[in-house]
Amino acid sequence: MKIAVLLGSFDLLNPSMLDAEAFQHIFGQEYQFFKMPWATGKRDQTYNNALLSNEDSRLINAAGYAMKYDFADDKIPLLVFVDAQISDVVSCLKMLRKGANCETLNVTLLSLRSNTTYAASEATKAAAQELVTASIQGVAFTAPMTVTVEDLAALDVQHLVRKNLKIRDISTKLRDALERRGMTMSPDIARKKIMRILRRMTEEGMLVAKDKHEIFADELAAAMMQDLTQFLEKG
Amino acid sequence: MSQPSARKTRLCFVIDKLAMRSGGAERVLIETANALYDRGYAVEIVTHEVRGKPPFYPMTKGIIRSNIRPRNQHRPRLWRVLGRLRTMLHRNRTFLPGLAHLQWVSQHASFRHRLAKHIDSVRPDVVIAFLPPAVTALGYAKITHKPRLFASLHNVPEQDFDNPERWDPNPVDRKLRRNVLSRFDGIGTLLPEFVEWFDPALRDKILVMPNAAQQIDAASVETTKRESVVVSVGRLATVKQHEILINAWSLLYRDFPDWRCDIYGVGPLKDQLRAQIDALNLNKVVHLRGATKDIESVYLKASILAHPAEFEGFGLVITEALSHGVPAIGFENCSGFNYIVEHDVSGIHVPSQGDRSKNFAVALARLMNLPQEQRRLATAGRERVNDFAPDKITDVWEQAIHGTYGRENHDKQAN
Amino acid sequence: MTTLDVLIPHYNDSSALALSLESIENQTWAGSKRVIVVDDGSERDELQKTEQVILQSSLNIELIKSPENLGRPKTRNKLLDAADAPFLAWLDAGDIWYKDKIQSQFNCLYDLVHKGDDVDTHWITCNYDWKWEGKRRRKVDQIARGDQLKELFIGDKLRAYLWTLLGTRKSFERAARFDERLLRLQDLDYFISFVRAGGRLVTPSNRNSLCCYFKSDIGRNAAEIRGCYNTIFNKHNAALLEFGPTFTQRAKSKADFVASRFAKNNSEHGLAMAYKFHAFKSDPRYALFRLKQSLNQG
Repeated sequence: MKIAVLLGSFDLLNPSMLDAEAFQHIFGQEYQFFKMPWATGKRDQTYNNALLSNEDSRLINAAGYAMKYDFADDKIPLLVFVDAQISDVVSCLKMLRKGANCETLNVTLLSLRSNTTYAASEATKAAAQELVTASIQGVAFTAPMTVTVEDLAALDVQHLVRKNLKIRDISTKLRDALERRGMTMSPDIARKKIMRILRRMTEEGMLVAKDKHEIFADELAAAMMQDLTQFLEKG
Repeated sequence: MSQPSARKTRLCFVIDKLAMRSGGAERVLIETANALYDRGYAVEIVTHEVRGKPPFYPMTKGIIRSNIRPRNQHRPRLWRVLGRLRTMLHRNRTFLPGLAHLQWVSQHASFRHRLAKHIDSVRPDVVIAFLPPAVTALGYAKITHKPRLFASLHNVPEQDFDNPERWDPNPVDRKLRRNVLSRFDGIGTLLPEFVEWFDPALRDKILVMPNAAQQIDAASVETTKRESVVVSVGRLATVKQHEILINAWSLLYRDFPDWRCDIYGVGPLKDQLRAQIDALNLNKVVHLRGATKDIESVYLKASILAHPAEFEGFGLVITEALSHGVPAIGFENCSGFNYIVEHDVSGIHVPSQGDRSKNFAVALARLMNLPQEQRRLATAGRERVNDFAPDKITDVWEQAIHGTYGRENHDKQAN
Repeated sequence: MTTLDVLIPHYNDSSALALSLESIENQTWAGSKRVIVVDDGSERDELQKTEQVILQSSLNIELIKSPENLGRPKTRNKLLDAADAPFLAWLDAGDIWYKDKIQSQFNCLYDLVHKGDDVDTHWITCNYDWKWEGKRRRKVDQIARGDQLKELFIGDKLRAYLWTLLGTRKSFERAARFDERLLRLQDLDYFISFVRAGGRLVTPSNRNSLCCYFKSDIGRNAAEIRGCYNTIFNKHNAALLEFGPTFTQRAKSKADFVASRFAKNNSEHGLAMAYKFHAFKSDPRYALFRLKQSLNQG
């Protein structure tokens, strides 16, 4: 079975900036972030780091099982570990193989590098090297793949990150504006709403200027309130 | 022969009582049911018992257990009072013509009737009755649906069918028990020599199906440290003839001061055997050890199995000892023993004529004197047990299920 | 390697099949799946349309054609024989899954592994919508607590509907096969056999309805239904003996009510009354309770 592992430090791998879809953008459609919604209470913000704690070996076992069945044949599950100890990764890989009940786990190591926006962690790179040379029974490593942020693909990343930041900023402001009008909205829904609106605007060739987020959010809130009133009057 | 795991063939085992029963036949039933379930059959075990407790031996999850007897607590009070009166009637041992028949109907007819109803509604492909009470009930059950009927017997036929002390002593039952066999499509018996007992008309239907013997890993048998111990394992009952072993020991213990004799088992003759040991002054060398949960390590420490029984239905004890690398000594005319153990190959046959205790002592002494002989017999014994490997026995069960055996087949087996 | 086989019996209703296939295409679960359709001897026209529907679908579909109409239980056994993926799910032509059904149920399976449970002794069922012709959708909850065998016999809290299920192929083997005598209710017998063989049903943490059942009693024979109930009660009598006669009467009375409903929906009002009367005879308390309930609902 094939899997991919992305190692990195927190300054680069930050879930609020790089989400599941972002990885697909960066590494290609083939790689799909491995989600574990079934592991109740483990939906933490640090990607797959829950698998690295040695407290719950059955969690890793179940993850191996889920990995085996949850992906189409042409997709590779992608695990993202932030600031991970190599020894933890090694024991995790061993357990995953057991859980997936496969003969060999073919692991592609992925890494991200950047000289400008984010400092590349030389330590992580060294750690990845160490992992490749570590011999783990039943685990084979394929040549590591590194994507540098200066590359073409990386532009997409920066763009994505910027876009994410933008969405986050406007949605926070939208919620503030709505609250001033006596209405609350969950952060999730606000984010989704803004994402949709921005996408439609981009399609129409429109853009919200960076310093106009506040005004935009306020106008949007006002429009939403009006819509709501009309809706209620109509019954 | 084994089918893919589609559970297309539906088997129904029938036994009178199973709850908490730790007997040999019950064990064979559950082990067989488990093995056949693992081979992809759909398996149900039907019982007819007051107790709703689970069986003693572990049953594979997936096998359905059906107790077809209505529970007492769900019955009206009047019925329960009548039930108690009927139980008293069933204890009657004076069998008068007519009344004996009535007693039989009161005691057994409901099992037969409920079993017929159950089989007609479940429609299994093969129904296998274990032990005479279930065999009689199944044979006389008025079934509209026609499954293959198989009777599985687990004792010397004379004991099951001719001994008035065994099963229901009511002569009506004994007659029915014998006559019912012709209604079966197949009959399983433990040893080739038992085939001769059956009516010649039945012999084509008979399949010899020994019990399976557990396989012990070679390493633990080869590395174990054996002590100078002769063991005997079995119920303390008349048929096992432990008194012969104790007598024999009194003849040879002076020549073998380092040896001791350990007898494992419980039973009605415990006090009598103890008294015999005391009388012969063998307290220090012959021990009644009672029951043990760890018979494995007993076998792994022992050098010789002494098995002076009069006869055996099969003799699980013997295959158990052999698989643990313990050679066996027993009487040449003991059924089961003489089938499993070949003289001077995997054990010693003691002459049954003349002074039996003396004969037994001579054979024991000879083997106790020759550790090399012990090892030679043990090696051959372990090979012999391979013939009773669970997989092979399950193959035989599949023959029983599909009826793929016949006259030629059992002739071959008898030779 | 196919992970999931989706098993669909089909007879003379290609547009219904198209609806079901579309709901499979829309699943968010991304693992590899195959659909097996056994056509139970549809008429030539319908069979051609069915082939067309299958050609147009983007799914990986295997069509097996029976030369004659064999009925549901035999068709379902054929499906069982054709399946070889490690996981199986069922759907009837005409019913639909909502898009996160399979993912929610797989998540439940992964959670079982996480808890250390044996996936081969569990079936994942789910809440569902129940839609009568011409009426609104009504959500029905599957309650997996308590004695599941009892609940299945009564059928008020836990219902035996195959299309709610996801499980390993081994778990389905536990229930053996569909009883070919049961032209109706073969699912109920299958569920009861599963639970009697040590199986257990569980529900996913997603409590939304995950599929929709379009129900119609039209043209279904009430006497046939009641007869199938009888076959099931007799077959599993050993389980009923455990629960005692009071419970058995209740289960039989409930079966009479179901038969009565079928009769009523097919405008056989006399027969419907007869079943109700029979229900009253079996378990007067339960019959009165049902009467009170229906009066309360108007």
